[in-house]
Amino acid sequence: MLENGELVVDAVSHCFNHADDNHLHPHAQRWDDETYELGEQLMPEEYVFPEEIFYRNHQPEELERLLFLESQIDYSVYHSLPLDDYFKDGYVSREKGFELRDRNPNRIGMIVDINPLEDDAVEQVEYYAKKKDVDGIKLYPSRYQNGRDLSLQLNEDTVRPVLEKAADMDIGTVGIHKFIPFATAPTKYFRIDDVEEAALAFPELNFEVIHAGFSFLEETVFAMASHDNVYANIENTAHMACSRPKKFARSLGEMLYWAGPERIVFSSGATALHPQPPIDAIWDFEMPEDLRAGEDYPEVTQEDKQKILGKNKLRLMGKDPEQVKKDIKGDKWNQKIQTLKEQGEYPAPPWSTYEEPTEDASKERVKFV
Amino acid sequence: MSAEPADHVLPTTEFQSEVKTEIKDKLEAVFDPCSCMSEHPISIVELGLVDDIEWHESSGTVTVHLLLTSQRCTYFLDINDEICERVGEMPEVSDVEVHQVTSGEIWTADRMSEDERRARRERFERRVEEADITPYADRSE
Repeated sequence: MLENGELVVDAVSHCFNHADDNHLHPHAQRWDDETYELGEQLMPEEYVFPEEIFYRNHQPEELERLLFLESQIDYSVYHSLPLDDYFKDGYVSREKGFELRDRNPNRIGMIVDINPLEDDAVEQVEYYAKKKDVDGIKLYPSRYQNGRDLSLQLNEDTVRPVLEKAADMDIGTVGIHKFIPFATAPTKYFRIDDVEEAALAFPELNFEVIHAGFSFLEETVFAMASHDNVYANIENTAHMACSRPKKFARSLGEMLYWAGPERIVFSSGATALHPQPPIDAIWDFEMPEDLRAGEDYPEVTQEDKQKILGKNKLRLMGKDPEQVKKDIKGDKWNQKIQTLKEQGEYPAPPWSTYEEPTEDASKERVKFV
Repeated sequence: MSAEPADHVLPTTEFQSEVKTEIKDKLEAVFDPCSCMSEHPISIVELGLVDDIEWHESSGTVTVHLLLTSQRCTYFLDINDEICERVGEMPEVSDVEVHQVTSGEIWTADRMSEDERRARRERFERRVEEADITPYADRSE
């Protein structure tokens, strides 16, 4: 929670599994290493993971402490990932997300990954909407299967039935990975053109374009300005506020100028990155004078920052901020936070709530608190 | 306001060495593979991918340092091969190496040549005008 009492809502968190025994494909190690390097590039040194903590199978108990004790996040939406061509459990498993939500029903939302190439993909959407009450579905623009990169753009026949079912089930949000290419998939799959077509065809769905602002900026703001149901989810881009402030300023400035402050949602990307640095950096952010004068970018007000850091995502989820505040008041995290505050240690120091890993940390859960 | 001099190689970069200038000219003919999939192919020099050119006259060796748009770029090998082929054609050159910069520096659009950035912006503005889009900043006034 911000010092002024406003909620901080995280639109993307994950429990990554970076353990060696989770690898299925030669590129898996590269994914792990590049995810680690991304943290080195985007975060202040003191927030960079110790390697022995990073290269392991992260657990819900660790993620919840990271989010609620080491950062000001009050509510987070877990995204499972469908990368089961590279990793045995998809990299970020559904099971850990549901476990995390069961442990924290008032603080965790769930967006479940769907692979449109699976025969029962449409049935899965119905199942997760009806039986598991998910807050949305997560799609990737490409799949690697049987040695080939397959396109899965939102305007393709393979994906359309999944979107139709999501709209029928009133599922709300479709999160779509974009902008950061991976492995051998052609970069063209990571452009945003297909999102525009889908946004037009399914006005009842909201499309959160993940990693918005990282690349293809003009295309992104064009889509946001053209379609009211296209949102910028700034996972990873948010961390540029602390490490690449000029690039962040340009990305944010373009989004604010063309689409306004209601269409941007903050994401921590934890456990790949530490969640607190971007919260501090966004709260302290001021649009540089040269960009205000030269590009007509607006001043970023405190109200804008509160929208980006929480209010927008709650509105998208149909949640009343005051009700969320009531729901979490006095819960176990709230109590621990009060204790930390009294000790002058809130948020807790980076990675301090992770215990030293055991020799076989990838398989064994650690115990803390 | 004058732009700060670029710390990487652009079409406007001037070298005292004629050989380095010729190497830069050769690199301007190497196109970014991703841009070739779009309607606007762009050279690796215009895109700001060339971080540095090293020329060792005594040995005839050249090292081209590239900062890619993504560390995960899988076209590195294709770009590498084309650079080696084009620069290797020069009679003064005995060996060419292409080195990927992994210092943690990130490619941003600011590294593109000014001409390319302007052209890209003009295309965007044309598209906005054709779609009759009013910026939020103007709508709210």
